[in-house]
Amino acid sequence: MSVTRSVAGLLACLWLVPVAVEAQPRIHDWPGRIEVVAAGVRSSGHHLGSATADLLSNQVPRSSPTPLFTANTELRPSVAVDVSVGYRLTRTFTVEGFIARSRPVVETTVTNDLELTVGGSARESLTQYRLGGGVVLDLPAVSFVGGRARPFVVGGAGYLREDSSGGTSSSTGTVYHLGAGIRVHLIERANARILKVLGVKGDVRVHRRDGGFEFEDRRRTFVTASVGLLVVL
Amino acid sequence: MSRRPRIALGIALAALIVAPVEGYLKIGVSDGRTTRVAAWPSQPIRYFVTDRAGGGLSSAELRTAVGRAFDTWQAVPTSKAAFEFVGFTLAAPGAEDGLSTIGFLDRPDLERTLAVTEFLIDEFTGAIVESDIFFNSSVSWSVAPGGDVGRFDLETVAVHEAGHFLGLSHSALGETELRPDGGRRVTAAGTVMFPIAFSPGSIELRALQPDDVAGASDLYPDGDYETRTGTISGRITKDGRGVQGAHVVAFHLQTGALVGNFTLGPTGDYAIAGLQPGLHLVRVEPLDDASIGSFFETEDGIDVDFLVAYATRLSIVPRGGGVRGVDIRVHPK
Repeated sequence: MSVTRSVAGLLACLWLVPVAVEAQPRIHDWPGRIEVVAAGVRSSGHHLGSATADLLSNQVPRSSPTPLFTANTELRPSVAVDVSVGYRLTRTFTVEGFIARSRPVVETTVTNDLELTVGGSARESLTQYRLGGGVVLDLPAVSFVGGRARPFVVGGAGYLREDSSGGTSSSTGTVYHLGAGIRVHLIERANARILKVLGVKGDVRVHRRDGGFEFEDRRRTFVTASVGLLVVL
Repeated sequence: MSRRPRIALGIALAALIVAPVEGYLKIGVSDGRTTRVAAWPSQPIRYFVTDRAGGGLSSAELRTAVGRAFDTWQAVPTSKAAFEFVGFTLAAPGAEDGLSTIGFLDRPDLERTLAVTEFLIDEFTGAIVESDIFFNSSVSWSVAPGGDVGRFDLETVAVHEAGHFLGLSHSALGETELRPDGGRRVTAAGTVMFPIAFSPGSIELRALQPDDVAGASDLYPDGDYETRTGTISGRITKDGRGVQGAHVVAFHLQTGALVGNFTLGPTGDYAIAGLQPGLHLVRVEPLDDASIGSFFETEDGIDVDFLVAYATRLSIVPRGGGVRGVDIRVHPK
């Protein structure tokens, strides 16, 4: 099952919820509002691949590989800065664009060296960019604190770029995400001319990446958790 | 011009002089002041085959196996090395006649030598004028497609000698074990140019490995080779001083390719060229899997008293560029 199909299925299902139960309309729910979020994002690490440095063994008639050492490589957990801008199309449906930048570390751990009893490790920093868009569906039927706290679900896709330190090499790919979170409006000013809402927004997302620095040509999954400042204009 | 015969140890020649340049150990020549890389000045490289049987093979079988070996090197897409068989000759390899000749010679005195490559090199330009290869008739040879247990595969040895014929020296990408008689038996290799042959019957090293491809491409680059590949360079030190003769290998984490080179001077500096773009892990080991004489003119200054170590920094090799400062500190055994 593809990630895209999963997102579409979930969104279609959730779309029915706000139709069935209308929430109390609030001024920041009105179509046309713009939501800006600046967040800190903690990203889990994930495996990038394993490789064995094989030599040809001196066997007759056919050789089998002689491993010189094995290298396991991971992208370590990191912290990103994420800025997103959403545009509310309906009371429950928002489209958003985002850009995130982080400095994850690639770490390779060496094991089973033919001549070395202890392993080693090597690291290198990357600069990672994620740029993309998605949809956010509010769940007004499940709100708290008098409607000030509202959960939502989110899904989308984006472009992934990873640059080596010094920028001499880069690798690109695609990243998809699906998640859920909550907005909490700390200050609501219905009569304000510009800043209607000041609040916080947090979410947890599951990402699927395809490309970037990757050694086994496989899609990888990682999780992010973010907390940020939210304003509605 | 001077003739520089090579001492045969095991499978092939030992380089008397190595050229201190990036990417692979190459045969070099010195006029006393400057060391130059030895290379053929033009392509294709024309060669003759001696019309003489030996080692259980006819001259026609020798010519076919040698032709396949040269084809293997010629097929490297990033190298412009090319060969042309001119014809059979009655001349034996080793004669200074301006012709590159390949054939059998009966050398029972070299009982552990399979084959030897010799050169005639212009000391002032580094141009290879002539190169001859002889295969020892005292050895029992085979050209069976699948190898013949108990007999050395001539094509395998010819691929190795053809690498020397091009100007490549030995690579240390291999592992050996000590034999009871004090010699060494190769247990594994990651390059055709390892100085000790696999056992009789083995045909595994008919095919070039990434290390060999990098060497041939570095010596005879073709097309956009230099813009498609990259370099890693750095320094190997022990107790704050450079380590000479350390074998440094770059491992491509995605393709699994291993490409090596040496620190060629007392500063411990090294450079590995011809690397495919991507993430590499760099490993260094002492030159203790074959005789130092198989690689260097002299053992003076070569340090083998250190443990295997890895760079603490991963190298993301760019296309057409390099990663510098990949230094490794090693510790005594």
